Amino acid sequence: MAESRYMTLNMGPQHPSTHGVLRIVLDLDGERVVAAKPVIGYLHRGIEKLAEGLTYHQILPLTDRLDYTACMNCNLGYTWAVERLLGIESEIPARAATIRIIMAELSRIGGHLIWLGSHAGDIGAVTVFIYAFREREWIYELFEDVCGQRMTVSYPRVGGVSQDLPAGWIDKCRAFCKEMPKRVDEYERLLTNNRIWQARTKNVGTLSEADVYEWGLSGPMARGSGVEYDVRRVLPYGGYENYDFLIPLGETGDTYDRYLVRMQEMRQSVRIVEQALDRLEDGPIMADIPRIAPPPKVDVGTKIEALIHHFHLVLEGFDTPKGEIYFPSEAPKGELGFYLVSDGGPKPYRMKIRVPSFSNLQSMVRMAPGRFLADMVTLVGTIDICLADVDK
Amino acid sequence: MSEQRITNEELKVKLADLLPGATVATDLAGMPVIAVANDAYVVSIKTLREEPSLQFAMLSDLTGVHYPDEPQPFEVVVHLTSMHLARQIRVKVRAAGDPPTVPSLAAFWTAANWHEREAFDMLGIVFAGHPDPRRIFLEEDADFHPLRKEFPTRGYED
Repeated sequence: MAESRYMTLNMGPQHPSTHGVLRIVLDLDGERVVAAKPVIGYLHRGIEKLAEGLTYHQILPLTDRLDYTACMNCNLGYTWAVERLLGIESEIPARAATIRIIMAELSRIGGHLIWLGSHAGDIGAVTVFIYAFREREWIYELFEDVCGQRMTVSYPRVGGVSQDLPAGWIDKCRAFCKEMPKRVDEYERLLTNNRIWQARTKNVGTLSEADVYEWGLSGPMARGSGVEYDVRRVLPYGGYENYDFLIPLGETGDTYDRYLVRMQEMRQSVRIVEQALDRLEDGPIMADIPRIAPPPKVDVGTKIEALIHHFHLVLEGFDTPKGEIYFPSEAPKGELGFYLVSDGGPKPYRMKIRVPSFSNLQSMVRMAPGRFLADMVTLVGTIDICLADVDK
Repeated sequence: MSEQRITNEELKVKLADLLPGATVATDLAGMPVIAVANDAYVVSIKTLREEPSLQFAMLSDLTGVHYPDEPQPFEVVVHLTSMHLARQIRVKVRAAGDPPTVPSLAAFWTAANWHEREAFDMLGIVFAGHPDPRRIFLEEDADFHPLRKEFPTRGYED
């Protein structure tokens, strides 16, 4: 074996701070990191290949398994993409569109809470973990009330959403919106001016604006470095152009800035949910397109046409126009894009998922050199990766 | 984000002017799709990236698609984002030769490194000039590329 002055160390694939199975091969000069090479693929399930053998409705539960910390955003990104492929974006009923915005933003808060809890816990502020997961549970209870599932919700459908909001749900959601900003204040009291927190995060993992373009970063990873790239604003979709919200930006692009950006984003998401609740109108929750949208469950048991539609949709799916689309949406971790190629049939010819964590994780190669080994935990946390999202 | 607004038609005309030899079309949702020849690929990407009126400076995605019945069965599909225009476009190029080869974009964006490794891993497309041409998801001694159409979804063995 050749002599090297560096020690090679495997961090992972079983390491408590990697939140999944990530291996980082580190070259160490004492405590200093010289090079970091992430090794991924341990969670590769071949979702893109599986999708080629499934109808568009059947693919939906697979999208839950991308970023499982924010399943609703993955579900919605996918359904919006299929609707764009079908050209029915304008036919989604107003109530369904508004419910989707509410769910997407609640899910974003939930995703950020998991990031906050685990990131702070990794660095040593374990108390924050308990606080963050308390509010995350509140969000999951809201999801459970709507669709029976906490995490892998599979709630939206192509054409609308699967179920209407149950009685009393709006009040529960309003109570959450009223309380949540105070809870964010609580987290900030624990961390923002905390000297240990600042020492561990300031000037760690600094990325410049040029780095954002160089490494194809999106989400808080881009905005923390001052690049105003938020798909909701740059390429609006699903009605986001009608909502009033700010896009928090960082200045120095370090871990602390990304922390501040995500904290502000939670507050902005609460604002969006409140606006959506205000404009929620009565009406249908599914587009009236029998060849695509599943019929109401009650009709399936009582009306022969609905039963036939149900059978056709379940057994055969629906045909799509021949062609292709790319649909980017803003997931909590960044740009979640679906590239769908259709040959006209009921199954995608090719479905490429542009997952945010994949591109963002690559920037580890840029951030790690020169840092201490202990900072690696901070860097994994600040990227906010979900390995299921990275590996597909 | 820029305040500049440009219609899809204006953008198409502009792209056709700037990229002689390329075919500019639109997809189902109106996104401009530029098909370039293999030997014009790098030059076209350079123009899209550096032309001041376009500034497609962000590589959002790079992937491949397999069309087994066509003479050049492997297509590389690139999605670029311009914050200047608040637009995305798609660039397509066919891989030439055996093994199917396309020039690497890693010299323009480090981001291309992993995307190209994924396209190689999944489809067996070779990126000429890639700094680290290894598989990314599958084990290194795998002898198949699962997103090729002839690969059965259940795999070759249990």
